[in-house]
Amino acid sequence: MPFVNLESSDGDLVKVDVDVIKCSVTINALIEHLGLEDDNEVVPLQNVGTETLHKVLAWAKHHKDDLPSVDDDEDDPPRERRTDITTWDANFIKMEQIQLFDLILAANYLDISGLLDLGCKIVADMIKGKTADEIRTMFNIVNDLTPQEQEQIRKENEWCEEK
Amino acid sequence: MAFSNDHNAEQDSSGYTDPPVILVNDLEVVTFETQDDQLASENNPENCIGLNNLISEELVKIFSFLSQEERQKLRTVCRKWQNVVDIVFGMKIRVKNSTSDLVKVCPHAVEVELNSMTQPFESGIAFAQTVRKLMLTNIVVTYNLVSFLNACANITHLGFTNVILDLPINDPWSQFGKDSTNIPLDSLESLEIKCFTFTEGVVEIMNFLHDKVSFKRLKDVIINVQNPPVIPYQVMFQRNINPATTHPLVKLLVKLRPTLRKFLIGRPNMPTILKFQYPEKDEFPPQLEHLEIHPYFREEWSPILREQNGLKIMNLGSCNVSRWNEIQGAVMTNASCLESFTIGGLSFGQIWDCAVFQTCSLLRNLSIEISHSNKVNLAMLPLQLKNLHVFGPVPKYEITAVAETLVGLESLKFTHLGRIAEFNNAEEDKVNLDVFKALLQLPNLKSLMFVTCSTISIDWDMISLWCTSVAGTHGFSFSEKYFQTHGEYFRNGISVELTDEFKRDAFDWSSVPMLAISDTVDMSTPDPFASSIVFHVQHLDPPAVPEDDV
Repeated sequence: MPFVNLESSDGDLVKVDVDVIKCSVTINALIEHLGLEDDNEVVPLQNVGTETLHKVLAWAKHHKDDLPSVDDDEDDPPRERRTDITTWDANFIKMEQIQLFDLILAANYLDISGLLDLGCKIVADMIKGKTADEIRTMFNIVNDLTPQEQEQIRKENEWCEEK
Repeated sequence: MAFSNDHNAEQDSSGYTDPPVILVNDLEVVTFETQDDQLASENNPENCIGLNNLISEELVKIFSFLSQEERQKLRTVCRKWQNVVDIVFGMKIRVKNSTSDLVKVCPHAVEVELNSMTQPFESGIAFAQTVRKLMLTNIVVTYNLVSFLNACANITHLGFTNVILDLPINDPWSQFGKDSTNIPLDSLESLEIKCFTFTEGVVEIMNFLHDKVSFKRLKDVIINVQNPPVIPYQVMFQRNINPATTHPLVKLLVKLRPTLRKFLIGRPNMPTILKFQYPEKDEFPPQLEHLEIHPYFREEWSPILREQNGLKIMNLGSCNVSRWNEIQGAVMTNASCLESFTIGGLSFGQIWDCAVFQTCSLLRNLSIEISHSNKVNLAMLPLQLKNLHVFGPVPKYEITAVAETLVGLESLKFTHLGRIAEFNNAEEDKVNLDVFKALLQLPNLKSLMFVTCSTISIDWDMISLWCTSVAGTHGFSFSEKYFQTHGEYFRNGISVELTDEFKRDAFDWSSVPMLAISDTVDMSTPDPFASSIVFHVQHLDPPAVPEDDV
């Protein structure tokens, strides 16, 4: 079975079964582009740290058999792909916020739609039902809106409160 | 944290107009342009502290998992989030008298609801270019209707909810727009009217839209109303109409004929639907693809069927026996394209002959819900049929024939099986375990249901016992339905579900249960045979019977 060596941004090498990482459009493209045939060739991933890479691979390994091909994905409207989160995924995604955001960035960079969806869904769930203040505290965001702008937004958003 | 703030500030001060975002068209994200160097800088591990380090593309993805209302609330978090919501997803606002200044200061609004706004606006509509969805609610004053429709020429969706068109008489604005002759809504694709009752107000809207507005691509007209009037649909299929005597709704539909794709009217769960094929030049009369009528198919609509030859879906609600010939003729005319057919009604001893579907080579779904009518020639239904629902009397030999011929069936349902008057020996004519097993052996069957069938027509005891005895089989599950009378539960339905795990070939079909139980079940004491059964105790209402169709 063919293997590929992935090099994380920390400089670590991880040997991976090509079959496991086939979910990544980016890596597939890199393998094809670089024309890697030898098992010892290295694919550099400048944007993914070692820790995150291991997480990505754990997810990919678990899902290597159930992922639909990338081509099929294109035709489905995103809404239909929003299935419930499985128990395995729910346990997998339990991590610190920083790690979660790194994972989302990595999933986006590596173009792994299933993992990206999972991460984004989790963050969306964290956002749901929170006030703006709570969200800012939770995600460490500074409110850079002027009082006038806030007043304007309050008026524009009035319908949200009117039910 | 401080670093994070600086990072945000830097990004925002550099202006959000730069990529990585985002071109927007009709609420859909069309293109993202992410610059590699920007991505790289944001991805620097040292910077990865907070959510705002995610590039906008990822924020967009996260926001897409939220409802419109939840997204709108995020606008108050920070400027970046506000921009993502406004530019990618579009803002919704509700304007009424107390917030009418929003009209002048909301340049990004893509969805605008005008709620009982009686203050006049003639110009200065800030969102005139961005708004795509304009919703009018409660009281709509004609001067505002005219000025908003004139200004917001790019709308693709126009909606009226519980609208009363107000025509003020004694104020200086009352005559405004009265003489407008043409408001072009060239981009409008969808018109939706929601109202509890079909009122004068709705008729006024129809008249207004017919008389004053022009359309180029309006294809969907949806009217959600509890009491739809009887519409003379057949007029839509006539070349010439007399405007003076034509219903305002039909006049509007005739005007829309060149582009109209779908017309829906009625309650959401029981609508009447006319879905047209994409109109081709000079094609007359208009050709339907989907015709669904509720609650019943009226005599005067029969001419519509005569000239249709591309119908894929026919759902005629209830139907009087006297129209059967016409409808069966339509089935044969459309045999090469018909995919789904449903008919209901009462017939009292008439016979529905299924041979009419014999040449329907694409038919997948068939539901014959005529009660008091004997169904014959079920075995002549086309072999590719996937879903069959028969309502009313069916003789046992017909059901046996189904088991022998309709190998494509995935779901099969009999309702109100009834007793066939012509047969005297009731015991012998009951659907027995052998027939039941034969049906389950249909190679693709996933669901078999007998619903609201009494012991007159089906041998419940043996079938139930057998199901109980094989209930542990992989991929086999069943539930029974009961109705309650005088404190007792009587079995009157059974439903078997088979999954792919159920292996027909390996299954022992010869097993016969040895015990008999009563068809009444005492629900207070544990039934020894019921240990593996989930009881679904429910009363099943028969389908509504039309009042004037008997």
